[in-house]
Amino acid sequence: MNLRIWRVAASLLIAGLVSLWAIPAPAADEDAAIAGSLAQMLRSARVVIAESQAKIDDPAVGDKGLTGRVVLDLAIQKYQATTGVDPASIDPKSRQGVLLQALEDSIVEVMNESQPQINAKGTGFKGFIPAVFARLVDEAFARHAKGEAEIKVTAPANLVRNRKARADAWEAEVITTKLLQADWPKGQPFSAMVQEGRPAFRIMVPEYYAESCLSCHGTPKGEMDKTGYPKEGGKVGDLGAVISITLFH
Amino acid sequence: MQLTIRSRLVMLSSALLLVLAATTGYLTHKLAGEAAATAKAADMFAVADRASSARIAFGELRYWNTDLAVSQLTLAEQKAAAARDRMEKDLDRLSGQKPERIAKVRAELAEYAEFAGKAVDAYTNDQRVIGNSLLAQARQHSLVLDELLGSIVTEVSADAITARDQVVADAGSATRIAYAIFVAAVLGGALLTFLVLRSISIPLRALVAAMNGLIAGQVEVDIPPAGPDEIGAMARILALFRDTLNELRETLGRLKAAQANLVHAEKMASLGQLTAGIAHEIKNPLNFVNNFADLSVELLDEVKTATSPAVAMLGDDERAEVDETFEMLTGNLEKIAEHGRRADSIVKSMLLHSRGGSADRQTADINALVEEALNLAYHGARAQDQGFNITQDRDFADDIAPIELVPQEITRVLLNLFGNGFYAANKRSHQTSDPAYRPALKVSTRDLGGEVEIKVGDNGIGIAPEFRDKLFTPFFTTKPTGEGTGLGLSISYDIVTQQHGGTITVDSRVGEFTEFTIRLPRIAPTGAPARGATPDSAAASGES
Repeated sequence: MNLRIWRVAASLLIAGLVSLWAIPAPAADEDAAIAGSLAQMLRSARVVIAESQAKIDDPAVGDKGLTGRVVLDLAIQKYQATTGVDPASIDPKSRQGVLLQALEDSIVEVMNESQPQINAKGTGFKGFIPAVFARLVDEAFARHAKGEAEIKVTAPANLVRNRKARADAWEAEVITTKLLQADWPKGQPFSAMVQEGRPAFRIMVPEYYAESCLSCHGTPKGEMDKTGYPKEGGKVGDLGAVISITLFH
Repeated sequence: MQLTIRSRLVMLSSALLLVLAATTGYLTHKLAGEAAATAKAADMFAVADRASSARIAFGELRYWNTDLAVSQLTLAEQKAAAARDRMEKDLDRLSGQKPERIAKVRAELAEYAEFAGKAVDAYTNDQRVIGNSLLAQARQHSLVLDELLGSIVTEVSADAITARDQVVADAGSATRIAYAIFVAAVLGGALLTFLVLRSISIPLRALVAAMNGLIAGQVEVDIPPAGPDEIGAMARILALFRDTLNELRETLGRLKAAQANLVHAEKMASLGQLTAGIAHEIKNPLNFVNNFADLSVELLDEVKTATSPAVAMLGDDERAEVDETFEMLTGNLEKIAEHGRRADSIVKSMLLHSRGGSADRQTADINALVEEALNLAYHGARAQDQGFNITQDRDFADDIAPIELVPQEITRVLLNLFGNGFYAANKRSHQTSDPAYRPALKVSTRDLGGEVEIKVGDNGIGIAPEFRDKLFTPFFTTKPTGEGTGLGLSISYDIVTQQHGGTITVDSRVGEFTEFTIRLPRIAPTGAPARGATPDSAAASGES
């Protein structure tokens, strides 16, 4: 299981990086770099959760030792291993440094607040999965970024499980007209400058189902997965999720 | 029942078919009504089901909206949307039955959905307080809505149950009526069948019994009255058959009797010839006896005359003895002559009767003829039965002038009548328990001027009235077979009426007497008289 989850995270990470590199040159400046950094940190932390899923779901163990600091350290290790960049090396006062720190704080906050849930003894599956973790981190990040940036993991409408992850109008448009099109290059993000009361850089980074994803999202369609949700009937390579990052100017 | 068997069976079948058709028609009518009522009740239950379905769908809508507010899962949102869709469809279907109520439901539903949606959005946006407030408002509408739906369900269900109960009640009533009709049809059909079969079987059994009786030779068997039906026709045919059989039996009896009589007559004829032969042979020596007796009387007179001188010389005793001897011889010879003449008379009569005599009319003394016949009959009867005895009362008129007749034939008639009289009186003497009874036969003659009357009466057993019409019928007799030919009175009737133009009548009372009266005209008419001279008296003798 752990190996599978790791593979999921790795596949999503690779696909994300590939997509970031595919951002057109005018947009691949600072905003793209910041978005890529945020996306990677989120993915790294999510992989940590995925790799700890068995421990989290172990009803026999109380304190899992997965505090905010522990998870963040592991995430930073993965981030650094993937990008070759030590987040500590980024200027904390820079826009990237501020937003990355906000994300790291969000990770710590979510994990610390989830300790009672994670450490509940006697309960197996606790519903604390990478997707939930990522959504909670996204919500915390919105507060910590103080309106400077937002991160949301969304998906095509038929694949969204939590209504908080529903795509907004722009995201839905991008998913439908770009990312779901047959001729859209695999893994290529889509970014654009938009006007949402104020100018903002928005980027949509597609994530595709790997084999490990299908235990919950595969076939047979309608069959209940371990969370009690019906499987979507997805196949390897199908568009499964989109990391939507907004950087307000 | 004045109908043929075919008509009865057709009526029975028609009645049964009519009952069957009426029952089927009634049940069909009832079933059609029940089907319509059942369909209506089913429709009402379907409406109730739709109302319940709408209420359930609303319950699901509330549940999923609440779930959505908590879980935020789009699955709950989808479930809620699906539940509302179902509810809307149910309401669409119900709007035809309860348009005003459904409109209120829709209005409340819209209010609920609006507040619930806003509440979910608030929860999604982490505005919990606002979400709670909105959800409370949605809850108010949901309560009203649930009450509305509940009342509709209750109302429609009650209507459906009422309709169903009515259907059940009607079905029960129809079933009971059908049972009653069935029982009545079975009983009526059984009764009708029983009556029809009875109307056939009873006369048929009687007819079979009659046939069996006829087969067994019981010709007096009762044959059922002939009705207008087929059995009646059979009864008529059977009655004809019985009558024919009776006639055949009677004819056979008469033929047997006639055969016996003919045999007897043949015997009698042979006996007559024998009698004639014997009488003829007796007559010659009898003539010698008579002649020599007469001659001996004459010779004895001559001997007496010739011997009288010598006798006169005898002593008194001797002379008295000789005279007495002469007288005894004379007396004996006279008795021989007398009885010889009598015997000669009998032989003559026998010859006369056996030979049949000639049909020539002769002048005859009717009293002598009657006396001769009576003597002959009496001696004949005595010859047959030594113990036979009867008182003979003769009442002959002295002044009867000679009359022309055929003596042999009239003697034959008289012999028949005397023979019958002897037989009847003798039979009564054997039958009666009266010690004072004495058989008697009275014969009288009377001159009526143009006619001579002969009456022959006896105090015998008499003649039953039912036999009197047949009395002069050939071969009719009441005597045991072999004792009577049945021809005596028939021949006598022919002799008196046809040969002599006279009449012969009879009067009788059973157990008291019988009297035949013959009247012979002095001058017989030319040719045979009509048979209209048949005795008109009510009585006739059966002792022929």
